[in-house]
Amino acid sequence: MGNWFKVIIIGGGATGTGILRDLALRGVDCLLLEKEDFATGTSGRFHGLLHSGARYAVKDPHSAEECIQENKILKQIAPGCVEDTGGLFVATGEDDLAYSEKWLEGCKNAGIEVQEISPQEALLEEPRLAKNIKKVYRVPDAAIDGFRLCAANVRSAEKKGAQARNYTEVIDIIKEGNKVKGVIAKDLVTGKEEEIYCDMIINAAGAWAGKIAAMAGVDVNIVPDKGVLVVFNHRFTKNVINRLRPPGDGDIFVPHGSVTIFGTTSRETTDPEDNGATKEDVLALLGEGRKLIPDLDEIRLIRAFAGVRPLYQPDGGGTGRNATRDFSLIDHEKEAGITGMVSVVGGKLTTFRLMANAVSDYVCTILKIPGESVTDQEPLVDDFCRLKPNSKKEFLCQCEQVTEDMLLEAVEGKKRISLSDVRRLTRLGMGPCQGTFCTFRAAGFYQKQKKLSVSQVNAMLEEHVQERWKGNHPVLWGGQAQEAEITRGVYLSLLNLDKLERCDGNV
Amino acid sequence: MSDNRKEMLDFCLKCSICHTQCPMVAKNPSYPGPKHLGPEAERLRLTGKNPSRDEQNKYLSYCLNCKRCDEACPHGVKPSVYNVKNKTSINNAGQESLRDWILAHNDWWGRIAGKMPGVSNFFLKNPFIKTGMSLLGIAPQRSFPAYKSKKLKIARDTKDKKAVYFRGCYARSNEPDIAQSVIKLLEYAGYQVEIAPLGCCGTPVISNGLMTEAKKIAEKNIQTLCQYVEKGYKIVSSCPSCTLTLKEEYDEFFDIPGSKKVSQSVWDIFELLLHDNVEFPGSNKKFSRVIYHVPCHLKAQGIGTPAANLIRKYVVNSLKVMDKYCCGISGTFGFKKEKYDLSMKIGNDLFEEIKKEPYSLVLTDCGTCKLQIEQGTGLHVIHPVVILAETIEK
Repeated sequence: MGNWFKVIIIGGGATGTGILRDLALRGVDCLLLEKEDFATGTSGRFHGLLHSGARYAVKDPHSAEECIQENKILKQIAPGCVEDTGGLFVATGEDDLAYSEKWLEGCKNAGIEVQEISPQEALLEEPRLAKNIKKVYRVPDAAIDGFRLCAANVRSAEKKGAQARNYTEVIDIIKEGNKVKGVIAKDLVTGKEEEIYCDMIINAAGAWAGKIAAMAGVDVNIVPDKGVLVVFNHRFTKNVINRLRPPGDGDIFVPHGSVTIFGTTSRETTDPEDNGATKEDVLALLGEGRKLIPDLDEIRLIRAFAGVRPLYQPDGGGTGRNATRDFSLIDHEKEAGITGMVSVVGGKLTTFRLMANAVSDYVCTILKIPGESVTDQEPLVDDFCRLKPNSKKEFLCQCEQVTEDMLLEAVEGKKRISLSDVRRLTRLGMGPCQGTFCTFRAAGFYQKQKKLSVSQVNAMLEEHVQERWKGNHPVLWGGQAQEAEITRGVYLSLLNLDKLERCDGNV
Repeated sequence: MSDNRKEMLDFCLKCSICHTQCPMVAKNPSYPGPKHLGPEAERLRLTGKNPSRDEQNKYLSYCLNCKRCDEACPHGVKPSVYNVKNKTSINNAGQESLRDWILAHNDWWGRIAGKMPGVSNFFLKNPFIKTGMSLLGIAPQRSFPAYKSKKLKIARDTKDKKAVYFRGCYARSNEPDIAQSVIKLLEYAGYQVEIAPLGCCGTPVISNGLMTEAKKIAEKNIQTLCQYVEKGYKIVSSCPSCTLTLKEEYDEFFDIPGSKKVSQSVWDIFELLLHDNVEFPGSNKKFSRVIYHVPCHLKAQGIGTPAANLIRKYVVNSLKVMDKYCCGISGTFGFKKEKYDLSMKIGNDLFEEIKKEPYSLVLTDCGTCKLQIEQGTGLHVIHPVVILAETIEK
């Protein structure tokens, strides 16, 4: 039956796609629905850090333990998504050394391998660090690409027969009495609505989980917590650099691909879509960052963005940094007498696989599906949209080395072409020019290859230029302000973008 | 600034003006160009994971180091600096690296060959030697400069103004007439002249990526020249590449005490004559229709064209100044077998320009530009010091 699945998963972030993979590997017939593209929510808006757990060693020991286990597993099963940079915890001149004792104890209890190195040695390895550092410890932190991870989960699941539909929004939940029977899903490309039935819905909508729960008439109290991050033009440390102090704002630098991601902040918000950063956020972050990397202002910022942590508050627990990073599985039958639906909330990207594993175990028990999770053994299908050595094709995005081949691979089987979706898979437009030169090249390339109409291409151009601009404007000084003037010259003067023929469809 | 070279890559705005000025991009479309090979690739080199690294490195040896990209950048990025720095990382095949090493040491060969120029010149034209060179990867079509030795005449009198002349390899081993002309001009301008007891400035060694050796050369040169500077000497050179290296490259690539002091005392011979307002009243403009090729490394010094100014004022009736083209030889580049054709192709626009009209004289300051133009046009090329020095009455 085309419109019946054993399980429907709502939300295409790390948790949702992780559950899809877990169930698919068990042979469960399942479908994932995502209203945008995969990893457009919190899973694509974070530090890009694969935690060792050391950050949570004092306050959240259970999370720390989970992190280190998952850290080891993901390095094994997803080498294409993880770069094993290693990490350092650094106490600066103004940090309290009493904390480092508690921290060491916490790491030991969680099973996190910590090695002390002398400040001199650390400065040789990371000459950018402040000269007044007092204590330095090495931990097994790494960098992880959230976009690639979610796409890899989807690809791994699809290989086992599962389905995942992006740009498909759940607009309502079908209930019969106290039993959830399915969803009404709207294809946002065609506008078509469809009823899809299932035995079980897993609500993995992250910051949007409260909205989905409300459709079924149940309460899931999510307190969206906004974190702002900035992106520097290049890598200036080899390791992930953490400040050795109680978790606070602006204390982690992650060398991520060709850039450095630095953050973050923690501010309560009301709207899960509140993902813009402001200049004030950025300036406050830089102020903290200088304590670790004193000459931070000399390095060009190319972007700022924000993600929303979907912190779960069952009954008025802590908020912001005090809220637990543990995840919660809510069985709505137990909570509110509604059967056929569970919600999974909280947690963090590093532990997504463990969450998926736990949720899948729980759901399979209810549905009486035998078998167990093999997601910690099975490697992810994560080798796609990459630059092949000796590729002869010209780079359409020179900053990030994206070729025509990669652009074609990125839209294989897609129902619509969006440069932002392509960007998440290939890094097109993520370099210093922020899409100034690759946006029109890629649009022209797709127009030719896929025979797109002029108004479709115009819409594609506009969407990508606007999306890049959104992240640009909070950091508009120095190099990036000058770059933005070039962008303006190219798109508004030369290409007259604001007066082009519009596409009447969506986008 | 802690290490401003690293930040220089942040200044690149991707405008691609450097591409429009790169002679290699113009004639070799597969060359990634200064922007990509420079700041863009440098940013990716920091990532540790860059699958196209080897391919990029292969192209580094195609950078002419003409510095036209550095001059073009509106934002202070110097792509050529990245190329030079990263050339050390190229893993050439054994034969190529032997060939590059041989070419980079033209100073040594010049010293040896200069002792018996007749024999050396005979051998350089010998077909067996040519075949041997070709096997080593040296372009057999390339005419080598003849070696010539000459005893230089230097006045022994003491004067207040003092200059130390950095001859460079070409004026020492191949065309000592240039050196004699420079000495004559400096003495005429009132200087007590001394020849620096030094060999190569290091340019060919640097452009072949032999940076460790280049640093040793730089240290020796700076140490010696520093002593002259402290005694009040001005350092003068007639070779644009030597001048540029002494003025800028040592400072750019190496951290050697005294390099600033030296670089601030270096003068191009014409730059000094103009600065001192030296006049040549006995001259007459005996040449008309003369063309002057401005070498890339003279252009890169940012001192304009002092040779052209003086030549135009005292020696030549109508002078055409060509600063648009790179001649394509780029020191040792044009001597390499696999690069010879490309080298000639790059120079072709300049050759056509020179052949277009029946010029009575072709001038240029640089020894290898001269070789290239002679090879590409069949015309004799003269260093401007030679014709200016001729105007001085004995």
